[in-house]
Amino acid sequence: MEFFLIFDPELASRIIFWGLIIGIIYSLLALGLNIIFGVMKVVNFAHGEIMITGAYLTFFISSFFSINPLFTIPITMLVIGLIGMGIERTFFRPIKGTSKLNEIFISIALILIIQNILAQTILEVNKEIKPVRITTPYTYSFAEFGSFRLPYDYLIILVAAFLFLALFYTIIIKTSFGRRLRATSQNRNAAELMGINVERIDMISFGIGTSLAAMAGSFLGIITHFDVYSGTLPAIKAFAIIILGGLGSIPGAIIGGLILGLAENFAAVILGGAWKDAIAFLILSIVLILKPSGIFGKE
Amino acid sequence: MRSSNAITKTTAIIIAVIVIIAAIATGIYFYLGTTSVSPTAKEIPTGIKIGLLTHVTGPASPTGLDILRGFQLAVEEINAQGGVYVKEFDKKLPLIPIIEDQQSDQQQTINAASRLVNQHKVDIIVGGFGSAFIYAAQPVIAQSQTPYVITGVSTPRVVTRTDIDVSWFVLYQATGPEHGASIALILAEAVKPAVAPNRNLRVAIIYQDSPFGQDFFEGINKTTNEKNLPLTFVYIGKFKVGETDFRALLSAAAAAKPDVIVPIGFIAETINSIKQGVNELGLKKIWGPVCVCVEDVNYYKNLGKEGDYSLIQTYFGPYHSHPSVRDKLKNFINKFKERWGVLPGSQGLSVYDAVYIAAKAIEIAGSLDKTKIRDTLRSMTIDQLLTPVPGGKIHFGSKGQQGFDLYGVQLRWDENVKELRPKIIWPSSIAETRFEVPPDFQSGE
Repeated sequence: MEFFLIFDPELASRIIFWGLIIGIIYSLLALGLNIIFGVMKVVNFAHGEIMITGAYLTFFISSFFSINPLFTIPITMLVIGLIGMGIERTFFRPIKGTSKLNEIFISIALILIIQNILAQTILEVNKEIKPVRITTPYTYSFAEFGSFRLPYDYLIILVAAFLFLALFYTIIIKTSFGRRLRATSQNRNAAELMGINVERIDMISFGIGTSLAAMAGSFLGIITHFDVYSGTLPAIKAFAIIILGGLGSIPGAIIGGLILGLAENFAAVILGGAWKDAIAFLILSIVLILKPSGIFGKE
Repeated sequence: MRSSNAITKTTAIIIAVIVIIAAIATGIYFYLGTTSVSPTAKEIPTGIKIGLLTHVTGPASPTGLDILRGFQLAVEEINAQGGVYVKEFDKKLPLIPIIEDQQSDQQQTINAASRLVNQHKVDIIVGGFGSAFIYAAQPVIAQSQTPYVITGVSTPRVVTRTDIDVSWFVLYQATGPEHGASIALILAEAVKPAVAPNRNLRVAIIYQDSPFGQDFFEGINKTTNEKNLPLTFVYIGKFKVGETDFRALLSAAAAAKPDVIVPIGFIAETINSIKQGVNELGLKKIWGPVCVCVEDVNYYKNLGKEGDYSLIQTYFGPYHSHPSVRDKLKNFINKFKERWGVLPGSQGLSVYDAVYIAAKAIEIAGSLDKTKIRDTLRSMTIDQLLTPVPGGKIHFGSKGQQGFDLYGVQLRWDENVKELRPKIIWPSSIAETRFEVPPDFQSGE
């Protein structure tokens, strides 16, 4: 019975809208992860925790200083980007080139360190770790299209995220910095021989990746409640997305995120909520069987 | 020629003497140990080890901390009275609390239970939160033969399963099917007459895809069928544990044109689903009755105006109580707030009661013998404590479960405190007011 519900045009359009919202957040998160992996070839499992740190930072800055959270997001991105650069310099650079196992354990350690720091801090402030949500001046404002109600927050997130991704893509493709970053990503040794300071590129790309995660976290915090532990699952999905879209591919991360967001919402209605998370890995398996390098990956 | 490895005659004699002395000493030890030490000389323990299973860390820690606070308060109160009188030792023994962290994880719950029974060798266990977690930890506890008063679990399977000896467990909690039954009755008896007097009430249910959600749903379904209640289920959907995005599911529920949407989940899931439905989808429906597991001050605070006119099926809340326990509860709430600076939740209350039940069982058993405590837990009948129970008496009996007196509340926005506040609307015997239909309600028909 549930399957036929999607032929209701109003319901289908609603599901597509909600799918695009969560999809664009996945895209931002996956893109950050992809930049870090593409340049440094480092698998950062703590990416989800960095995302949640960004969400909390936006929440606290906007709450304490009574600033519109949407204006706080650039500050959050800058702060988290700098923290990200610090993490690269402190944790990942010393082990670069050693065993992959070291990178994995460092990122798992970071998950626990970040979660515990956040939990302790929040416990000090609130006495308990309850889920919170970022509210904006538009939280209770909507654009009505017949019976279809679109919250302004979501429209702002959708437009802002697409504009940002377009700008980001242009910077990576058109600017000198973008070329250096892509060169390091494609052939690290050759880039170094051409005079590119690859270590600096590593640090900057880690900063960019984490600031993208902070942006994703802030948007996530606007559309739903979150707590210290909310970052783990989105990070796992972000890994699936970058493999689905093609490792190192920027369009792959964006399209992969949107596909996942749409698939999750349709799966929840047609197959039931239990399939919502599983669908990511089902799609991933199908894509890998048909095209092992991912949708936009090079053979 | 003698081998260099061969033992000498003298060495052999020495070894033989040592072996004989050791054998005699062992024999004397066991002889004295089993026959010569009189019961009166038995060592008196320094206290009664009472173990608590709860989530101190992880996503379930907000509820886990409520449980911890309820437990500690009860232990402190009993110890302030000198402890529990144990006839076997003819003296009052203090409770020695031993807390183990479930860490919001199934394997960690098993480890925590194992530490309680194998390392600390507790006399009795109370608490625990999460049906799946406790179900998984039960075999370890059953094997150690330690009595356990389970509180934060709604599945009746913890006392009906047949793969382990469940006589060591009693469940002090209304079960999922009992909760489900009361949800169906609130809808049929309180909501339906006001909303759809001339037709069946159109109900959409979205429930957590877990044994907890399944039990609730089955309770609603079974009661509706058995009692032929005037309810029509127009949409039934499931969501995963920990879900935060209900928009697609609620869109599908709304397409089925319900009068009422019943989300069955934990506190964060319930808040998210109602807020998203009201704010983002603009659904002008009746919400609930939702699960008693949302009963926490944060629910009243965080749900906000979106929760106006919504319903909870419950047995205790920070801002309401059953008339039969109201005075005692006021005292408890004041003490809890004074001790911890926050109001108690339903789980904190249950475990508070459970500590007193455990203490009473030990006192009646007059012994720390675990088999005697187990048998007493099942056979004793005591007055209800702070949680209202049918008939006002707690008696686990052979089925090992004590249900609660459930009732329904409707929440209304209070401008003075800028939070939601409840009024009892069901059953009629204790109702403070009648169910009110929201002014902007859109009928499902």
